[in-house]
Amino acid sequence: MTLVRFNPMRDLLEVEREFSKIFNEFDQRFGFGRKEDNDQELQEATWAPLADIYEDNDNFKIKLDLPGISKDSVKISFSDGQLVIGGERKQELESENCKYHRVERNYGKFYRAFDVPKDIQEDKINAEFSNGQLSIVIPKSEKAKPRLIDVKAN
Amino acid sequence: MTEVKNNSSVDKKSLIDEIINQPYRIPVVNIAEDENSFFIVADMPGVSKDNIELKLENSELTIIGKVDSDRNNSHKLILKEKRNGNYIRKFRLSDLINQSQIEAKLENGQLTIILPKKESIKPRSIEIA
Repeated sequence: MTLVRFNPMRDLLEVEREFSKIFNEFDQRFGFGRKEDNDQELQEATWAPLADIYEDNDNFKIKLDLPGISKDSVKISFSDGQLVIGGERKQELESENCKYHRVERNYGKFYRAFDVPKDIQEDKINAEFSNGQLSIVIPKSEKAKPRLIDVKAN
Repeated sequence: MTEVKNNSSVDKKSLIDEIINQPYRIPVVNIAEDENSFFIVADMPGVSKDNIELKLENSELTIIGKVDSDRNNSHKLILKEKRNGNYIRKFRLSDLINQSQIEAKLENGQLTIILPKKESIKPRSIEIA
């Protein structure tokens, strides 16, 4: 048996799931709304990594804490204006027959999705992993960048 | 009367002196045990190998991790869920641990400390003559 830490986030995910189900059914009945491809992943997820989001003149930057996860076991996808980060952290036993005194860390499948503004260059999204932190840089499109307007004097 | 400066005896400055006045958080850990050792595994995302320190003093093991903040004034914060600060957590080690053989490794922001048990307390089977 794997120990699963009590996680209030899980209940939150449950609520989100119920809500999107209600609205999706409504939308689909009237012929719009897309089918949730990530539904399966969302349902299996047991925890969600914490994130910070920043914005500067050129980029949006998302930073997630994913300690102890190798870069191969994180999957990032972008479709329909939604950026999805998913993967799994397996509970690796320290040795074959060890018993646990304390389990505070999260294990299992994780899932996080962000709706991204439209004015971005989606082919230039860049992700980097260092010291257990994932940073995703989303460049803004040229027209969304703030620019200075020269005032011409006659 | 002159001011006495007693800096000469401190040869290496500990990381904790550097960060003691900054906000800190407690890293989450797993503690496990097998027949040879205890294991402490701590989540410390954002800490690099140069910014971590393990201090053993009076059977008290302190984990100190410094997070290089990339605070930039041109950034605008949109969502903030993660807590800021460095990592500090203390553990009192039991007498069963062989304190001279403690090993640690840092991988992807995950710190693993192996605390070997003393030979005398390891379980063993006794041969019957």
